[in-house]
Amino acid sequence: MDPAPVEPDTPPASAGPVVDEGPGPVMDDGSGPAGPGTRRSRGFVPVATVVASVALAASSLAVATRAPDHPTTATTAFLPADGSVIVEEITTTSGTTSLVSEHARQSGVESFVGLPSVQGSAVISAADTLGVPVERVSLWRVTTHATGSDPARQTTGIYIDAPSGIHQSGSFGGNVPAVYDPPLLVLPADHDVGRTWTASGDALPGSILTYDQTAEIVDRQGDCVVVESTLDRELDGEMFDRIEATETWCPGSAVRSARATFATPEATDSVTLEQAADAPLPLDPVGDPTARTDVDFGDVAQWQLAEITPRQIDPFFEEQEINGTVGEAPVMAGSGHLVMSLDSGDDLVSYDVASDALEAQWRSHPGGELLTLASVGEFAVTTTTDRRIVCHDANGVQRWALTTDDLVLAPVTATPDGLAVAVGLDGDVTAIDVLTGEIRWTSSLVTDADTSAVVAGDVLVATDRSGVVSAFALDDGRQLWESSGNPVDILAAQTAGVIVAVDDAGLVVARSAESGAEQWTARVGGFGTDVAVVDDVVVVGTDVETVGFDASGQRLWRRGPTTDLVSDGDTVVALHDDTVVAVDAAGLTLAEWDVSNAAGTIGHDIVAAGGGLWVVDGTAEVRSLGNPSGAP
Amino acid sequence: MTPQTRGRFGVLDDVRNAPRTVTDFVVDGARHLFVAPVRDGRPRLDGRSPGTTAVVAAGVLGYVVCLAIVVFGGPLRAHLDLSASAGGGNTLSLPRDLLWLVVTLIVIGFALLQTGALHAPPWLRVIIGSVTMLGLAFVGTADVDTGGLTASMTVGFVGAASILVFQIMRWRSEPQWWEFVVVLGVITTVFTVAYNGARATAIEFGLDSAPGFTTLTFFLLGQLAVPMTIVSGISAAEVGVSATVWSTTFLGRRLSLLVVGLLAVGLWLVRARDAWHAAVDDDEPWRGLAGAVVVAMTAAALWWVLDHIADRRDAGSSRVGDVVSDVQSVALPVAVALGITAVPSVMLRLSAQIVFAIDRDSAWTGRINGWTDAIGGERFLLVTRVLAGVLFVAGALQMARRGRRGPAELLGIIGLLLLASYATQDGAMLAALGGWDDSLDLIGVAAVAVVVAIRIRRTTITTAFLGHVLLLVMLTVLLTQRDFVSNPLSIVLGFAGVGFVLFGYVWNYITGADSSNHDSVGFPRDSRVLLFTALNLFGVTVLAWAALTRSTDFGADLGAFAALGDQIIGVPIIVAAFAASFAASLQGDHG
Repeated sequence: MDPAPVEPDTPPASAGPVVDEGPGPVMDDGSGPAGPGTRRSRGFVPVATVVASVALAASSLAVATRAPDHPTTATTAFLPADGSVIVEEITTTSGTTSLVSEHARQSGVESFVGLPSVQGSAVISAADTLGVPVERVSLWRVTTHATGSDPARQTTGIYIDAPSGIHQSGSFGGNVPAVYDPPLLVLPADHDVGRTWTASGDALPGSILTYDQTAEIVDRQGDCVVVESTLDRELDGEMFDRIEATETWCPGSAVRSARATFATPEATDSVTLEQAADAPLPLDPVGDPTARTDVDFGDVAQWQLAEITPRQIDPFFEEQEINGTVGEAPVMAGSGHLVMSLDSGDDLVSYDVASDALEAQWRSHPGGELLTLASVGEFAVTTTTDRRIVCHDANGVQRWALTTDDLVLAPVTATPDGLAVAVGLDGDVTAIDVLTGEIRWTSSLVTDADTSAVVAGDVLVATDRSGVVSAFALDDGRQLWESSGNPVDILAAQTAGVIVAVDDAGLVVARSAESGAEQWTARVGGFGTDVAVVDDVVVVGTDVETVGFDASGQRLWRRGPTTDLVSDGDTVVALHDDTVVAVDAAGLTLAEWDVSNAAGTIGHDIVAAGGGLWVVDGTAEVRSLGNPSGAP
Repeated sequence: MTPQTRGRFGVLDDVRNAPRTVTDFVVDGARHLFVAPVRDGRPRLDGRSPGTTAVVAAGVLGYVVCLAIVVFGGPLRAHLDLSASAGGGNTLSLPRDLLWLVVTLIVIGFALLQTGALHAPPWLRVIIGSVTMLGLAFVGTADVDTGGLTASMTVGFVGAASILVFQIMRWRSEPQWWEFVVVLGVITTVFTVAYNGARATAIEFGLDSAPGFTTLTFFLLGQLAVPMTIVSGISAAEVGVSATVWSTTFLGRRLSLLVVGLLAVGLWLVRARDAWHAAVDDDEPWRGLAGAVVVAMTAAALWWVLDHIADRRDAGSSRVGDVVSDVQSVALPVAVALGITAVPSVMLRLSAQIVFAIDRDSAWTGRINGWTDAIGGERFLLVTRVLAGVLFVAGALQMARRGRRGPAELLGIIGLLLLASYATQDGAMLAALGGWDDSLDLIGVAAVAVVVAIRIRRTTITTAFLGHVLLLVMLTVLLTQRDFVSNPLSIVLGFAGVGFVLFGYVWNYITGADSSNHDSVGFPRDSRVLLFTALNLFGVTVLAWAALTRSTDFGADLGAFAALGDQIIGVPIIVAAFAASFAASLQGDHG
């Protein structure tokens, strides 16, 4: 920089039009006066130095901030992608059936801590045997549904992708589960033709079932590897079964095809398996996308709080506790099942509900991390960090997955005719037929958005982060009206075709869903958290108060803060911190319960169902209040 | 009494001249409202060495890159791989391939800031130097999970010490272009080693630490952009007042008395209706109205007092056209006063992180966090803001005594409205008068009616006077509508929340560099330009980060600070312009 002569706070000589005055005087060091001939050449050095230093800085930072490569082994490439679905046709002497398998690829402790306890322990043991630290375990889970008499039934195989190869640590859900110790090597890292290996050990804990394995890499077909293996399993020293298989492992597909002979002391059967590329799902979707669960709280004064342990019943291992933490707010599917997302494993778990039990019906893995969860009739629709919207039917079979341009941060909205409407972070509004995954229509909001749309009659109303509220025709997505204001915290639909919006300045605006005409406005204090309707009273919850408004927007009553509101039309139940309160339309307390957790203040969610509520804590501790199963 | 009128009634002339009037309106408007402010207020590099020019160009290039990221944030997210992690209700997602670019922009901004500070006034050297050293020591803690004194921490501390040594070495020297290269080298080295160390630690767990650590960096250093963001928040009011003054003057000169009169009356009627509905459409309308009357009367009284004090030194009156130019001398000190906690807050937060990294069990971490919470708490904020309000009013009285009429009136109104906003908030002494800001425009509309009534009694209605009435009505519009640029910008960007800040930043950068173009022994021009560029680059880098992550939750929420600038300084600009124009109308001065 040049040492130009300075005076106290001297303004520049000229504030006139921009004139190219050249680079200015240059000294010997590149910053002082010099003749015109040398000025350009000497000016080059500082400019080049500055440019080079900036380029060098950018380059070194580009290297330092690059994304880490996921830990891979020589066999990682053979595994299907996380969240992918593969259809397989399996032929036996009794005929051909199809399998639908969903693949989960995760690493670290979170990948197995949410598994049934026996299988979780098996993974820890296998990792120890393989010399892999548990925090670096790379897990591959294959969950399979078979067509046939019980398509809801799942079998799950658990594999570890270790430096020495792909090992099976166990399986569960089928008639013959397994816990292999040492884990069963199914594809070695060194998979050159001629490579052989043998192993023996326990196939179930306590040597109830033992195994002997011999295997060899017999061929290579392009990138694929052919493995011949024999697995003998014995029960109390007697043959239990014998599987002689020739499997073709291909990149991205795992076992693309297989021929096997399956023998038991009683019979022998031959089996062939082929992956059906691009085949439609062989199973019809199970579930009604328009089904809704009825909610009728009845006499809330009679409600009792009961603790319930979610569990999984395995045909072999019987009852096992489900661990892990709950992710997104649980939902009640139209089938009457409680669907939860588990942060541990990023799985969906659907529970059969009874007033005293929650029994896992199915477990699925949409892929990536779960962002939101919603039910559309009997279907569960999730959005994930992979920019996907994924739908599972009532049996937990992944029906379809749509890739979106941006994340979807708000739960999809169910319409009465079975559409799932997603509002993307980029403001795209997409209506999807839940049965087929077909996009019915798309539209867009003005700016980015992170709030779910609401349905009022034939109108879908959504809002973006700029505060513009837009209404679309439910049948074709054409825009009906638009209004602007402050960003909206809460958008809710009242029964009589009225939309209620609570903005970030505390303004409550009720509009006709059909025309967008403003019907009434009112003010509340604090940050809007929820809206519910009880009789004709609109109840607005915020983090500082809960206010009841009549149909003209007149304030009827005011209570303390609320984080969640649910209503059956006659009674509204409010959650705040560790207290659940039932209130009538007049704002009077009908009953109150303490739902505090021994582990301290942990976020709760309340889900209305049947004649009561489920209260779900972040640690997956579940309590029933009243009779949420709906069973008599 | 029938009012007399003076002016051209030829509406047909207006129609005949319409094409030329429109052309002149556009051309002259662009010249007056855009070309002239940019010409006078842009950062100037004339007479600078090639090295200095290259250094500033690096900052400007970074600035342009940030603007491009903000504009194309949506398509970038759609077409590049997103790194996303859900958790705690917040989902951090960004195009992972662009992270290096954001970190590079932080480093360049940091290097410009520290280089600029090397020859700034000593107090500024100490403050910025301390922030830089703490910042580097903090960056060195990126791989703290490994425990103990890591290589990154060592490099961070050595980097911080190097900056100190370099500052001492260059204390009495003239600014040189190569200082930037040295500082950039030190800062880049620390960042590179730290990110590499963090990467090596996290990769063992299959984690990607860089996005999270960058978020933390934005949380801590993003506060440095607060003062400049507050200044940028006044741009809408500044441009609005300039455009209103110029356009109403233009129309008053070029259109017939009848057309200007119709425009003024029509707009006044619309405004009166809207302002009335807005004021009474509230749970407690009279509360806000009463508050607005009290605040408006007090502001008018203060303005009158300041004007008369200034008259003792130099008789005259404020001109509405000067209000915008007076903003330049007032805005930055006011912004610094409003964001007075930003720098201490940054330093305390950085210190807490460093102490925690050195000793996880240290009681000092909790203590420092407690202090940080205290100075960021509502009580401390209230005290500093009220104190600032009192100081602004006192400063205004002092300025008026020195004859600096315009800045005094503007600063006085800023102080008064600041005090009024805190005195009338819920739970405060004058809470019964709360909500006045929603009704202030109604008072303005009523005041216009008063002016017209008085002038009708005096029986002189001229085109220039009606132009003034139009100006007054337009100013009441500005009191409630300053989204004229940010809303369309948000639509174009597809991202709410940054349009207002982005417009403010760009406008401020191309027109608000007046102070950085000055030169003095104690604060050389090279230093000023670098600091001005650095602070602006910091701000737009935070915006670029928000655009890439589609969230303002992962750094400083600059939108809130821009809104603060708009509310605390922007509204007083409009009120001061209104007061000056109101007084001129009463006095029949429509020049």
